[in-house]
Amino acid sequence: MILAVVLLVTMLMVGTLGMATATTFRHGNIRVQVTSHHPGGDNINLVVPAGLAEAVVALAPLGMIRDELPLDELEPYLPAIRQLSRQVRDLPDAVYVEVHSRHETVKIEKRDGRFIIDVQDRNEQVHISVPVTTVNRVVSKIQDLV
Amino acid sequence: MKPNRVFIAFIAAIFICGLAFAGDAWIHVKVDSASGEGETVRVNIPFSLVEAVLPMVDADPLKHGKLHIDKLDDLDIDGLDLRAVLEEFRNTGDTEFVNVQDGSEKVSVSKKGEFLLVNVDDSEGGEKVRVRMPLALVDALLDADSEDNSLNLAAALKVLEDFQGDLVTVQDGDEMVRIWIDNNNFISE
Repeated sequence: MILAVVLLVTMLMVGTLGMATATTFRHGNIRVQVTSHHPGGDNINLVVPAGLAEAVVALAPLGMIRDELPLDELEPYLPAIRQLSRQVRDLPDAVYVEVHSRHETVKIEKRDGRFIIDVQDRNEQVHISVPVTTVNRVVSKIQDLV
Repeated sequence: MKPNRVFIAFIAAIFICGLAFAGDAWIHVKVDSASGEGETVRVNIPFSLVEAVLPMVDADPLKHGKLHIDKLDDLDIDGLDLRAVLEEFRNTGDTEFVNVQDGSEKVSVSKKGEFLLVNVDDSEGGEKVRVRMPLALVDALLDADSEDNSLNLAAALKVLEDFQGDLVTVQDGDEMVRIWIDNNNFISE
């Protein structure tokens, strides 16, 4: 009996872990890293499975999203944003925008199916990496609200 | 024999992909400023992206690939057929139409082949502007309905897709701006 329970729990754990791994592999991760250049400053390293983020957006109450986003202002641009998100999926890897100054650097690129944004200034370094497919799904969700 | 076939198929696939990407035109913007913050800007945008997105924008002053310019309302160009002027311009041989020397500043507008050239030089301010615009581009811009004072950006993009080379270069003191088109998805320094 005990062996059966142990086996069942093990199977459940392995199954859950397997599903989580499969979801992560299929959707990839969203990475947000903030590194402060000041002693005692905030350092954030966030890795969220993109599937989870998409699920949160998909399940979020419509009213809450409507309250948080300026949908009226966004509405005229949404078809263009959606088209943009569709197109970038097929674009080759490249650095699309790069700005350097004495104290600040900004880089936006597409690499290995991900949008990568790097910003560095005197105070901190920010790195954001999002799968392109996640951007598509989130934009679709927002357009469905309008 | 099998590995050879796989290898040949692999090389063929790379070649075909290469050709597909080689056909994509990219517009590049490069800004270098030696003064102030010493800013440098690099922008690489594929034409296919702009062409697909532009017609979808539906917000003033840009609607469905046409840019409405209020300033055109202010200009007294009633009765002036810009297309006719352009046609005359095109039929004329290579020549300099405008040459103004004002102190240290010199402005020149000319036609060379299928291009409209605008040159501005200010020896005192260190300003140097070079604009090289295909006449077909001006044609396409004016393709919009003349009554609504708009420029047809979507049609202009179509023209630029086949264009290669510099469109605008500006040297103003310590600042340098260059806009050009080629098939690379990067800017080689």
